[in-house]
Amino acid sequence: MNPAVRAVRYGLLLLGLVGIGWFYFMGSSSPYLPPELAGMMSGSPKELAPFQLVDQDNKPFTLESLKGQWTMVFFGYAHCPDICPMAMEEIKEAYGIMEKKSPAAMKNSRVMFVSVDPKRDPPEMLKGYVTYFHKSFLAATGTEEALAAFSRQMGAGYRMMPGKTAEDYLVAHTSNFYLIDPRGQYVTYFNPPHDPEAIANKWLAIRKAYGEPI
Amino acid sequence: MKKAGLLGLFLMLPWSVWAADLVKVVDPWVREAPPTSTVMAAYMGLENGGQAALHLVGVTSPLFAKVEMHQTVTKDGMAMMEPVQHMEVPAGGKIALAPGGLHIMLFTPSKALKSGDKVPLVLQFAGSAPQNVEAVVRAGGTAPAADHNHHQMQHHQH
Repeated sequence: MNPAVRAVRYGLLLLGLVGIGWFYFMGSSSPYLPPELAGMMSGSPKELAPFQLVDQDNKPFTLESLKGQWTMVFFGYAHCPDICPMAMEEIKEAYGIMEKKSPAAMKNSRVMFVSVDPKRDPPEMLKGYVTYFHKSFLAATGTEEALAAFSRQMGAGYRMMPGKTAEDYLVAHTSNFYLIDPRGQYVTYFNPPHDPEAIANKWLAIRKAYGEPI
Repeated sequence: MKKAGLLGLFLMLPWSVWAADLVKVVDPWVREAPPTSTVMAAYMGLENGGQAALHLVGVTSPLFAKVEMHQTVTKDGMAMMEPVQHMEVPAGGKIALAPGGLHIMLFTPSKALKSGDKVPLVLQFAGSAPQNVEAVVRAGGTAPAADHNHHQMQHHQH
């Protein structure tokens, strides 16, 4: 056989194998996006990488903990007298609207406050903090590295701002809510100013598009 | 005894009259905080019926270890509190200290404060006698409806 023809044949074979491999690779890892949602969101749901946080009961909170549940996440800190409690009141209102409109949705819809200030916000303190807003609300925190890795995947940012004393620092942070689906995929975010009714309606619409009970 | 009381009253009178004239404080309230929280925020409207701008330069409260004036601002999508040195109430104008904007940050209450409790605050305006205000603790509170269209609160906005 002509060496040139052989080279072309091997080349095509190789290309084909790579193509098939690529197809399976993409097929297995591409996120699930209900078609109805195509117009509602800026991008496709994004699979989250494994992470290791602790919850309000000092138990590990990982990627596995997200499975089977819709989780609305807020990144903040408890020494925050204005924005954080305001956002928690807003999401509490949204949650209340959902409880009225769709009791079925409440079986696997939850809200989680993630403290990016682990130095001042230990789990037992966070438990009292979040349950003040709603008895079902969850909290989590973790090491600085774990918090950075988890928050970065959703584009959430925060920054410590030095205060007058070492204990007095302030924290700048995104005040979005981030929605994670029961597959552990980051779905979309809600940016301020927050409208509780709009959040509730969109969350329910997304659930419906996924075929989840509402 | 009676004389001393009268004298006391006489001494207090002009101060309280000045204070009442200085700034009208509208609906002062403190957001009830979760039980494990050690910080709170106070909000109110300040109206200046006078001919000159007034500058709030300090706030104290006997119930808190420390009090600071702050403003929540949003920059690059991030919300942060910035300490402010003074808040100006323009002549004949008003400002709102409201959720998501200007507020008074209260550190470390000396006792647990619940809805309905009263919080004494002392407002210090530049060049004036301290003005006493009694704020009431309230639960809840989101951004004022009128501010829902604004990502960032303006200093003189109400």
